[in-house]
Amino acid sequence: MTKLPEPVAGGPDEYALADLVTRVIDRGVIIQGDVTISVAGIDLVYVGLSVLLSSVETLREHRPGPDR
Amino acid sequence: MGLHAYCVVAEQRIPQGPGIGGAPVHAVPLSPVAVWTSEHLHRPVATVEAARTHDAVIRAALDERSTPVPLRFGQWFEDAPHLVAAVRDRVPGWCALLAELAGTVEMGVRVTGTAPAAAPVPPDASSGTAYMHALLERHHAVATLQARRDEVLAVLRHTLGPQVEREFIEPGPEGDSVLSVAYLVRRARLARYRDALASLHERLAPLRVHTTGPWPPYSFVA
Repeated sequence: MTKLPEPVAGGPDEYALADLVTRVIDRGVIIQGDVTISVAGIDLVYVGLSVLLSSVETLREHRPGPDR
Repeated sequence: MGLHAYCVVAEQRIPQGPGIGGAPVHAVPLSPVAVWTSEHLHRPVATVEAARTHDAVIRAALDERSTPVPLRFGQWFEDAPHLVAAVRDRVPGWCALLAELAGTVEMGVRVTGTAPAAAPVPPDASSGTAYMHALLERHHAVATLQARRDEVLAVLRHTLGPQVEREFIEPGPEGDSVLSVAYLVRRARLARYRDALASLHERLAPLRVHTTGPWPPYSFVA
């Protein structure tokens, strides 16, 4: 069965990453009232995108362990 | 131990994985739908890799006829019975949403300026006057960008409007991003949408147009 259509030409990597993280972390259906995102071992009820990207870069620099 | 949830699908869909950390993806049935989940010792951390995997699992549920309802990263449940109890009342709404989204995908358009939205106020401004001048400059830059945002939105609507079902405008402007919009597009109209996209670069020059997609419909399920 045919899957996704061919992707359109993307932008620079930082935009593609921002688009991905925005959608996965900040959109979509919430089932539970409070969405707790754990970033760098800190539980946050809501993470603004710019803060999250900064934290993600911190995670990259510190080479976090495998996803649990 | 618990379940990380990815998306809502029609119950006959076979789960596709692997999920975060290589965990297998399983369907929790809620006839006539199902929720795709993976089991973990601890709640998955929101790393870039986990976000990519979360998206990949949802993308695996997309095909010509069906479009999943994406769940936001971070939906965590003690076990399947707790998940079922939490969502049982939402199943009728999800059935309607799945029917509405069937045959669609999300596409993204981001328009960026040639300069940052606003210069930062220098923290070491030597005087109150210099500080106020910097604030005024920043105010003008933001006002210019906001006016440009309205113009860009008008161009996007004129160019892409006939090919899209719905639009979602991201708050902004932010950074050098003048405007970022998500569109819900029927697969049958994707070719026309792409043709219309091609004309945007010339119409909006010297602003730059960045396009992404197709995505699962994250922006249209809230």
